[in-house]
Amino acid sequence: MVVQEFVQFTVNGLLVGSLFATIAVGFALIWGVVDIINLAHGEMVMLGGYASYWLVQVAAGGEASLLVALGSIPVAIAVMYAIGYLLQRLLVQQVSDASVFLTLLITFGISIAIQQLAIIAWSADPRSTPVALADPSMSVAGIVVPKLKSVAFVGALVLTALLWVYLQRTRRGRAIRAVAQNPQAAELVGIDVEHTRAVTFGLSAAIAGGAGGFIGMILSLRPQMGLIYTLKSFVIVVFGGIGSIPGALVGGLALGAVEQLVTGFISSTWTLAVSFSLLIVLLVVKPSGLFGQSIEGGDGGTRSGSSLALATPDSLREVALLVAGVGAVAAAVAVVVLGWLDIASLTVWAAILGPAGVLCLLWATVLDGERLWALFGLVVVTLALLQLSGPLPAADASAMLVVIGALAILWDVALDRARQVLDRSARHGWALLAAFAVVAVIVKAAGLLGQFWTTVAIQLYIFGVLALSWDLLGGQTGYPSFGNMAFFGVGAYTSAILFKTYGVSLPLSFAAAALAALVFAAVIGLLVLRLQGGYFAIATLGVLLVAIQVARNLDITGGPDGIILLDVPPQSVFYYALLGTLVAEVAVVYYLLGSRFGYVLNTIRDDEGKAIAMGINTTYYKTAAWMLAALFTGLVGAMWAPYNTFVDPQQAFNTAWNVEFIVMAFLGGTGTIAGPVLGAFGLWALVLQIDTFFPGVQLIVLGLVVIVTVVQFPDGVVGQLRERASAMEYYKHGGGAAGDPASDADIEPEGGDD
Amino acid sequence: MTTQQAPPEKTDAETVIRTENVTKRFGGLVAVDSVDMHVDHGEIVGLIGPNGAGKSTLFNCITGTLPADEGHIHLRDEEITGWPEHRIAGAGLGRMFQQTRVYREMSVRENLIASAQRNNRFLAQFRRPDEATLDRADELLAYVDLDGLADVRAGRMSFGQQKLLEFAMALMADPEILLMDEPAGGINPSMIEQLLDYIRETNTEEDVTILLIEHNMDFVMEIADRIYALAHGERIAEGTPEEIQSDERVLDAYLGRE
Repeated sequence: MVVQEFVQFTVNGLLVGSLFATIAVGFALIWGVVDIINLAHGEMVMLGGYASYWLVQVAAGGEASLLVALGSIPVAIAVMYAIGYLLQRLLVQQVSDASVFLTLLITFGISIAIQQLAIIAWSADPRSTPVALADPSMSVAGIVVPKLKSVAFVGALVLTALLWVYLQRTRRGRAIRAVAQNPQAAELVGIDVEHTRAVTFGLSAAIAGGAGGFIGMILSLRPQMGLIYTLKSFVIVVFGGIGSIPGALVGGLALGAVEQLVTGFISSTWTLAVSFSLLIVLLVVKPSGLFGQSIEGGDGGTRSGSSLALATPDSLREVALLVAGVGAVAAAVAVVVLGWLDIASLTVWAAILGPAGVLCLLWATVLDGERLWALFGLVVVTLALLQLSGPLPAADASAMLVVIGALAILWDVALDRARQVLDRSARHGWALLAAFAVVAVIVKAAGLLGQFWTTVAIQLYIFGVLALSWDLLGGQTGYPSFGNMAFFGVGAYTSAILFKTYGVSLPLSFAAAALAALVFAAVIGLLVLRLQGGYFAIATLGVLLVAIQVARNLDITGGPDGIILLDVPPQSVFYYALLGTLVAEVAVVYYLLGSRFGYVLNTIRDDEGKAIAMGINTTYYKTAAWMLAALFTGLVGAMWAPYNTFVDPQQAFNTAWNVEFIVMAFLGGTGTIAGPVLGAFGLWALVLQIDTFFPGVQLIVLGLVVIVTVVQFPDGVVGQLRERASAMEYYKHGGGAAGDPASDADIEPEGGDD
Repeated sequence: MTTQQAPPEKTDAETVIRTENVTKRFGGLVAVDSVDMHVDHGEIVGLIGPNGAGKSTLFNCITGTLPADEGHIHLRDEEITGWPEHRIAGAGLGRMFQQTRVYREMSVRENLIASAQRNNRFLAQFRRPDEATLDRADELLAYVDLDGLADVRAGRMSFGQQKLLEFAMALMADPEILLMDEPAGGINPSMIEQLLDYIRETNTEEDVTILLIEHNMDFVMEIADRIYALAHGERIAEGTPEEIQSDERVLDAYLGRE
């Protein structure tokens, strides 16, 4: 009986697994050719699925015959090809030579924006493409084989085979393979590399979309399904070997079988936890040979150099600057005037703001313009969106625009001044921090903060700590984690369980929770800190997803319902506790970055191989940074639990926050102290506005912020200031021009010796 | 981790690096084939050989980047075979890469401060850099003529300037011996004279023993006291530059006669 069950589950798994394999082949294609880990790959599956679903609805109006359903697949493929091609051309191409982290971030931004759009368009309810079959299953030797799944199985294999033939036999396919191996050489023999990459992206999206169509028929579609398929693809590709289609096939079939077996013999609630644990184990055990650090030491240092070097002629740039500047100012004036006149006509607002904002954005993204204008444009577009949902208080809107406009002008006009302020604040860090702490305490103690502003301040402190902790490893050490919320959740659950179940006092449970996060980080760190770049990012994301599943399944965590905490202290206690945590962390990080430890972390970020060769045991230092980040993240989580009076998997491992604080750190400027904290405060204010006024689209806006930031602000605001300062210093001392005869005319280092 | 040495015997103290029978295989290919060599205190030793001779692999075995399959490596009188790379570097073995590698996002001065890693201990890293380190950094910056660029992001500088910075970084680590992989590779001919001077001064004034790989024959013949020649992973000759220049086996290896 067990044997028969085993075979049955395996057959089911293999049938579904073929689709996973096909999706993974598309994922591997981009990875190999464009050298990007596309975190939006799952969204291509989702979109393809919905495209096919929609077509079937239009064509059949309900249950469709198999023929109609199959007919929808090529259309979905064509649509997805176009979407993929455009995504690469318009967005991803902008960062294709930048660091791994930037490419991950931009595809993540695309992913969440598409996800939210899909929720708006199709609602969050799962649905599946109805296909009518007279006799839905057949039986072979006692094993039930669903006909539809068999069709999908064959379809998946056909799609993969078609792609393979295309890559092997056609001229364009050969070009794709050439670009995968050596883009420069490909360029030299006359291949249009960027076009080829865009075609690859299109093909990848197309094959994912085709598989998505089948998934809509045999499983179900949800707007949030993408991430899981992305991660599955990653598991499969790591298992099968990058760039190997047969490897991906085997990997996909194996993953499908494993998942069905877990579902069948254990429980479907553990399926994801098992497959992502598998991923982490695979990453740790297998790929040391795949990408050992001795082979390609520092690939982090390849950021595309000076963002001041302009791609466009000066005159064109100036015209563009003028147009965008005039447009932005006009929009600001219009907002103020309309606002004070209290004209709330939506169409007028949208008509004025929309185009102006789009103009700013277009100019800024396409022509590599000034960074702050890009953000300005983004805010204008956001406001226009907000207006579509309901009028914004005029005073708020105009104040926001005036402030941002003023910042933009400051940016351009008073650059030297800004630099001086930055220098001075760096020298007086301790005084500034103390002043901030004293003011924050006085304001609260004197009762100047009402209920609302206390809440706001608490949120700011939480995000300040989260962003700074993330940056300690991501920005300072060059290990961008996509799973820091796991520490937060561990801290939150530990303190909640100790407090509620064991009656431990709150301060003690905070300390225990911080310690638990620290230990958790030490264990996880042993595994994942050996990985680099994209592997590290994905492994940490996997850790977070496993943590969510575990919290959902255990009794002690209250399962999906979570834990309710009663008899918690008043809000003001949390205000002081969180303020204290933030100040303490800023102080610790500020001190450490001035010590040799800070230098060491930066050497690891810039070139870990070199750092090792210079005598640094990098394992110690990156583990220390990771544990420190976990300590503070866990502590904040521990405080957040009673403050929130409620802990559940969704909130304790909040995946939206997980992206938000990365963006905050990034927006403010990774690798600085002021950057992440200021970024946290700034972006949080924006998120608050959007959450309040337009709750449905915050992820779209967040995604947009990510995309624009990555493309336009690769160093963040504070980082950009520094970079400019460094550039000025260099030219002031004649670095590039007269001082050194061996500047650009230098001969580049020759290739390898042995 | 300790690098304190027992009082060295007189004869051994003269030898800084000694390899015995070092062998490294990649699959079936024997990249380094039981090579014996030694570098004595105060020497400048050249390592030459055609492409694929195994020079860089031998370097990687000495620095601990690649584990040697067989043989022993000594630094002074300590056996360092199998030590992790960072420990060997901390014990006084400096290295410059064939392709210049500096910490690109850090300032020039920060690059130097971060390079003072001789005999480092984990806890000592939680203190601020001391005066001696800062002074030494300024001194070296002046030495390589980069003092005007101290606060510039290293990745922004020209290739030649980065090469000089990397050189200063290597000195900052206070090595007993410096392994240089093609120091003259890719360098503007006008800079080569300058580089020769720097290497000689480092050797005499800073008391750093030097082992270098070089393809530029004029360069290596001019600077080296002694030269080892490798071909197909095997050591085929050893001697003064004059001896090497007239060595039949070396000429064969370079001209491809078998």
